[in-house]
Amino acid sequence: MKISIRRRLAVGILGGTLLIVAIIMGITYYYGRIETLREVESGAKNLARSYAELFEVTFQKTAKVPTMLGVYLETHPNITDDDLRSLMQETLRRNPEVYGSAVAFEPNSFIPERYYHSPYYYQNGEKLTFVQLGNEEYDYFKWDWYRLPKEADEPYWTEPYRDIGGGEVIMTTYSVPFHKNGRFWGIATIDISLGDLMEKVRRLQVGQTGYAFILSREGKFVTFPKPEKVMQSGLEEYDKRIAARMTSGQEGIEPFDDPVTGQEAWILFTPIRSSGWSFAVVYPVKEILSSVIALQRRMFGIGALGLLVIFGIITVLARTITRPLEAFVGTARRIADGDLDQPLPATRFEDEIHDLSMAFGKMMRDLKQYMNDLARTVSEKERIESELKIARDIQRSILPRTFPPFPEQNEFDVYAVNISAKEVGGDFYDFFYVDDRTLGFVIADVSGKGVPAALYMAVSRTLLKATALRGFPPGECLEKVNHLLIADNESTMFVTLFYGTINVHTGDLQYANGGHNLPYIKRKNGDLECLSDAHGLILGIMDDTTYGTSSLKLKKGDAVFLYTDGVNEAEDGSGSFFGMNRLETCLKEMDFCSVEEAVAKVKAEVSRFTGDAVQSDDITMMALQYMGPDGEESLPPQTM
Amino acid sequence: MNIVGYNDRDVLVFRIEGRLDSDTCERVSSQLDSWVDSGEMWLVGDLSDLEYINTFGIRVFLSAHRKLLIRGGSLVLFGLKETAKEIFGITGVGDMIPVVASKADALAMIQRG
Repeated sequence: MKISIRRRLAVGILGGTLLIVAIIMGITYYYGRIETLREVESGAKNLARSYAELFEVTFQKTAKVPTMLGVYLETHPNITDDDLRSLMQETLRRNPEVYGSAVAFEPNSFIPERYYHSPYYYQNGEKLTFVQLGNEEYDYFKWDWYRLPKEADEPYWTEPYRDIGGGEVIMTTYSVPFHKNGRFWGIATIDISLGDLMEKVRRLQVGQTGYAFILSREGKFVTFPKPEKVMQSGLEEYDKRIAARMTSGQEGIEPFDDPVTGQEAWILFTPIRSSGWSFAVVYPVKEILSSVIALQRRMFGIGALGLLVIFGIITVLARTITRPLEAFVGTARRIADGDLDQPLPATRFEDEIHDLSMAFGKMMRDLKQYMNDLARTVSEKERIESELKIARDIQRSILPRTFPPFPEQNEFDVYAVNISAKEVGGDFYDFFYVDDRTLGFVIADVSGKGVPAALYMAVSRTLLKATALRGFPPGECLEKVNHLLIADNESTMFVTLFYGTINVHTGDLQYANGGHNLPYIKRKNGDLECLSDAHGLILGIMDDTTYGTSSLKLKKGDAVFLYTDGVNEAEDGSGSFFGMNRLETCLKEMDFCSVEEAVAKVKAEVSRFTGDAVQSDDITMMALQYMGPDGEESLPPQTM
Repeated sequence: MNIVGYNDRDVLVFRIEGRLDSDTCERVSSQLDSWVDSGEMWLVGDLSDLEYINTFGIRVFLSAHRKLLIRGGSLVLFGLKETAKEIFGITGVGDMIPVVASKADALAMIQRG
């Protein structure tokens, strides 16, 4: 997949920035949340405590009234019913916040004949109304407000209750036990209406959707946003643990599933000590964190805007980088197609692109130079190669290639082959009539390769033939050729050369050797002999060298086999030589049928040995078979 | 092919390892030429590790030998293997360039002048 630089830059930088923004937002949210919660907690705590205090003050102030009554009765045990009533009336008048007050006595203890005695006054508009409590229907001894403080012998705030008149007003009663002669005598009470306080609590605005409520000692709702729950059920219905903490008088803050809004909230509660109630403030989390969330939103907006700006910058920047590169790509493609004269795109800054452009320019110039040089070299090489080819063709053309060379002659049969190596070599062979009955034959190998070797070979061959045609015996012939070669030889070229003559009528063979590989005689009967007596220095080295002439008689059917070192030094792939032994074996074992066949057999054997290896030197072979006068193979015995 | 030279009693002795043929004759030739050009009168060649030599190698030796002859010196070879002896024999070069049995013989011959 192709991924552009722009995309990589965008992904890399935007990804990184996004990560940073996300981390900053996360941290801000985390600390903002902690800070906000702390603020809300302290605010809520203050709120709750101040409201609890409000209740506390009311309770404590009104609690004095029954206490005073109790104290008065204990100090005036013989008080009359009338005096008691006056006292009660006076007390209520002085304490208008008290709704009503009762003094309930033990059975038959105030007026012996009265089982129930409990005068009760309550505020009824501007007046006070009197009621004598206690009868069979309202047996106050069994009521909590009487029974519980009596049993505990302690003052007691009753659970809140609705006004007897069935109003919405919530009431509570404070009962104080009093004694006569050390024995429990009765209970003095006041009733207070909590209507105003409740209203305050109800109206209390806690944020947008938050609220406050009061839980009684028994865990019932004294106030609650859902009116049907008031006095009917308690917090236990929603959260037993928090309810237990509240009713046991603890202060705290807890997460809370708000049943009113149905959302997550925090609840903070603090006790109202005198009545054992608990005041709670409920804050929905969403609202607490709304400011944090709003901040987050703003930050997100700013972050997104920032990212957009960065993206824009990246796009522009990437374009300034990639545009020259794209131009380069096009140019490079055309260059790759061989157009080295492409103008390079201009660069605006001295940056890396500029460096690349410079390097490209240099590469193109160098490449052009190199290609020109190469073209020149190639043409030069081609020229030399073609010249070499011409040289080789000339060299080959001067070797006799037509066999049999003298079709009208039957006294001998000759065949030769020259297989050139890649480069022009210096092997040559020749045969010619010196006079009408003497055949001269020569095989030679000029040192070195190439054109110099070819030229030297042509010179050697011409000199030899010219000298030989003058009829000198082979040894003398070699001496003269050697002398002529040295006279003009500035270089250190030399030639190994074997020259022989054969009298086609008698089979007399005369020969001399200038450092050449020793030829073989293959007798008609199959014997193989080496012309090992023919030694002499190679030609072209030392002046005044003498060469001896050896002689031998050939019988009908005998053959001479001549070769150059390309045969015995033919190599196989592993660097081994064909060698003299193989050559001798090959010659020994073959049936000498015809000269052509003999040469072909050796050639085949050499090819089999070398296999695919490159031929490093010329391979030249010549075979000459003596057939006898008039080609009669079985000449009648000569009578001398 | 490898050729190294060292001095033994003021005579430069060189030693050729490997093959001396058409592929390596140029290197040997230029090495011998540099010694000859530096003024050596005598060069002693140790051919006991020369595995193969053909007419290309012969030509290198002849060339160096000829230059030393003009100066009144010579190339002296020793340690020839059978194959080398053979080619020296056939070509007659063995009669031109002195070939001895050992380095001691070579140095002795140079001492005699």
